[in-house]
Amino acid sequence: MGLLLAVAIGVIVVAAAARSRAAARRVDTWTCGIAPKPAFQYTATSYSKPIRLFFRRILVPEREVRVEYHPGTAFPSSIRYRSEITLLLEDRILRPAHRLGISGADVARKLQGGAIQLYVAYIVIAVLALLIWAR
Amino acid sequence: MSGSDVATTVFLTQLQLVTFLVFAPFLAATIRITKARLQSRRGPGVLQPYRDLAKWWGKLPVESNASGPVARYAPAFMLGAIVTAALLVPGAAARAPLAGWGDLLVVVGLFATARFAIALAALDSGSAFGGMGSSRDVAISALAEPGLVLALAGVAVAAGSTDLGTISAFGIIHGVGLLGPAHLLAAAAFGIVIIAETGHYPVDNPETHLELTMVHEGMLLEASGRSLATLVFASELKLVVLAALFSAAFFPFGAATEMAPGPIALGLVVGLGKMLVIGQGLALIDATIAKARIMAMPDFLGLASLLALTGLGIRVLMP
Amino acid sequence: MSNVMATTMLSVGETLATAVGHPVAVSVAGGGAAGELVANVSPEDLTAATGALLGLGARHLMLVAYDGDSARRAGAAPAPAPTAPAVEEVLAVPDGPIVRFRVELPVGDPAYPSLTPLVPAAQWDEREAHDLYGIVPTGHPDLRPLVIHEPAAPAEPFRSFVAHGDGVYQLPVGPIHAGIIEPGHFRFSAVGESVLYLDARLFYTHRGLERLVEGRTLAEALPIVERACGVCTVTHATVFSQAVEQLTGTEPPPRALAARVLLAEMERLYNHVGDLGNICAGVGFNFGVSRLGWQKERLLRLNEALTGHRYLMGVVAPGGLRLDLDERGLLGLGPLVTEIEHEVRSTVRLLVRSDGFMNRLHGTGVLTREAALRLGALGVAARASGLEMDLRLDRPAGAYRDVYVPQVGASAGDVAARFHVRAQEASGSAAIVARLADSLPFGDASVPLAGDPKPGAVALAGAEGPRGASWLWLMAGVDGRVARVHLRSASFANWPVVASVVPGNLVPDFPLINKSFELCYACTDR
Repeated sequence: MGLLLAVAIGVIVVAAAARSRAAARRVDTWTCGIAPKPAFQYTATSYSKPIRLFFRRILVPEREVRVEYHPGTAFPSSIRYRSEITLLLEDRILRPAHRLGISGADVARKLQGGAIQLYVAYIVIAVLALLIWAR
Repeated sequence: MSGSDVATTVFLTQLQLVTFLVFAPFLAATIRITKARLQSRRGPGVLQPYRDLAKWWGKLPVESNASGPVARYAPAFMLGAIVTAALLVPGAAARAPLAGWGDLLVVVGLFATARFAIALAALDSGSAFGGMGSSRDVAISALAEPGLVLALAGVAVAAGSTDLGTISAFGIIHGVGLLGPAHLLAAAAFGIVIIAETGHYPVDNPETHLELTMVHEGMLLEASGRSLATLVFASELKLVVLAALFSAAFFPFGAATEMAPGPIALGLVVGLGKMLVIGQGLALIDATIAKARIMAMPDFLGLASLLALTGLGIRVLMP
Repeated sequence: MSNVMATTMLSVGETLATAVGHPVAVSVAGGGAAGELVANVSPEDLTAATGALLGLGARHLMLVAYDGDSARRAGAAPAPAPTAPAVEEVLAVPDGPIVRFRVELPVGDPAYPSLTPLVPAAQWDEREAHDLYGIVPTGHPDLRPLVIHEPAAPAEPFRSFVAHGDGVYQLPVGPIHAGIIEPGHFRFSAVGESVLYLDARLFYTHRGLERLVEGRTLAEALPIVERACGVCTVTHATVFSQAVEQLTGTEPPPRALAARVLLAEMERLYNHVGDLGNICAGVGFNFGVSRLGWQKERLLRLNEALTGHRYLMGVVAPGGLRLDLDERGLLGLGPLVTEIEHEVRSTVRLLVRSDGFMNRLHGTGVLTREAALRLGALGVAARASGLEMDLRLDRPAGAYRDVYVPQVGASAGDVAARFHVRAQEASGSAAIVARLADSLPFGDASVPLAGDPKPGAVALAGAEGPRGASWLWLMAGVDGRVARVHLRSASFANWPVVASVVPGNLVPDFPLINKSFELCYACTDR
């Protein structure tokens, strides 16, 4: 079924492409009458900005605009922008889980010292505890 | 598939293809005319969208020398996806022309495919306006899609099927009895989604010349000639398909349940009439409210999701 | 010389002497009502002298540059050596005189310490003097080309100032727009929808009008000055006429003075009504656009009935009016304007009740009172930011002395505040028009000029137009010709203000912010 849909789309694409073979005039991208520059391209950060703003409660984006001024005036000499978002999965779930696992393993390693006397002591303690509990 | 089934499929496909394609610019014209009248303007004639399409189709295209195959083929790809979706939605009858080839999830997927194509094409030329429109469109649809799926899920649960023909037939059998709160909530949610998906107020202003405020128009700025004609036509057709989907899922009255010429003709007329009503509703909204900020979209479209979810909850918990 | 002026002159002289450390000769000049003082200061003393006046609460009006050519046209004897260029910094002391600091600059090295660090409102004036007269304000923080975008070597061509950083892109808008509006290039530095900085590049419609009228007769100069832009024609014709009347000692008849007020208020009214509609267009609110657009059209038709010209050109002239107002047009004017004002007011009431519309206006494009003062905002923009500033009230000229002008203001400084101020001013203007239409004095509409202006004499005239106070500086030449004219339009003063309020707003809110100021490009560029 999916294949049929693909075919349907494909047929139309091919048909339209064949018809639009007419020579197109190639010109610069329209930038309102001035010469285009690569800096005019929409950036990936910008592209995802609406989503970051919509979900700012979850993503908690941080932004910082640092403006430097011409000495003694309110005229900026440089403006720099920096932004970061909280990586929800990594910072809030994976890293804490990782930390928990590591600290649990640390505790376990201390318990599992490898000395035979220690294990004998554990058994004695366990037996005593059971006896007290079962009394 | 039996012989008569194939014949029905072929007949309905031809009928739907012709009527929808011819009707789409007309629907766009009626919206524009009503809007103009509401603003005390005379407005364009009903043939204007057809004339526009013909004009663009005949023009020598101007392409950005920064763009490549994506911008060239995306319009046709988008139109292809919408046309395919058009054939998976019941129109004149309570049965999609290509019944059994795809359910409502495929239709939703085709809309997403079409959007993906145009969003990508808008980025191709490196224009800031294209990128901006594309970014906004994708963000808005990310908010609208849950509402769309949940609203349709509500009726699908009621009908026990995701097949649009079955949903439609179910609606016709139950008639007015269907119009419970769950149904109406889902319908309201779908109405909001139609506004967002077709770029009407308060989400987008389809007639603006202010580049900075554009959503859908921003993505079309670099398109010209046949590409432009294709994209505009695809958008016009998208409204027809969404309107058909709305009537089929929520208000299927009038659609033919038997494959006879009389009921099908009646179903077609009623179906197109419902589309005109939906178009007039959009025009009325366009003329009477201001466009909202993009930051208001989560509230507006979140409302759609919430309504649809409430409807679905009612349906599942109180069958 | 009145006693008041003499006292003022003495106190200003004292203040200046204290500031610069030596006596400064101050003299009274011009026939301006509030009085005008002129002081020759050296380039080194200009900053200190200006600072002293700022201490008295003075505001920068304009900085005019002129050169040897102007002096020659003003009748200076053909000297063997080239005549020195000069700048004049003009400041207005509230409830006091207007003070002109004349600074003669050395030939060959026309430089002086820039005023902009002290008076940010002078930033564009100094850049213009630099571009057009080669006068160098040393220490100006931003001396990029303003008027001439791509000057001949070795000066640097114009480059937009932009921000940098993670994912910052530049958004170029204009000079060619999708809509039919005047040309201007706006370079946004933005991340997604958030604007970090906006650099505006105007002067695409610089036609060299000031140079064009130099050496022409006063009569030839009038239509050119008047047509600096299409929607401030009464304002510009009035300031030119007032300057000429000062230079020639002409007193226009009462009918002409009253008619000028009527025309100026019609100009304000149609501009404000149209601009209220434009604010609606900024948010795509079609209801307001069409309702207010129709009322503006009705006002333009009244203009035509009154003067034969929809934009009121060719009426105001030195000595009075070139053409008297049409009696038939005047007959129904009062009731019609009142009716239109009712329509506008009811539309505005409906607009204000629309939550979706007002949501877009509130908190958008905020101009703080402090910034308005610092950058020299004028007109509606200043009054919506809590500054009481209206030339009709502060320095009433002509028949404004006898007309009640309501004081209008708001303090929020956002688009909504400018919207409200405009709406209220429109009502005030309609009331003035309605009253004057019924009570216009009878008699002649003009008198011949009382004489030829003295070569080298300077006159300064200001009028409150729809966008704020426009000022005109006129130096008379020989044979009743123009030596130099400088038109500091309200839009010129307000443009840097617009660019300054945009950062921090969303990109799609810029058209709305821009329309809430609704400045002209043509009378900025000249």
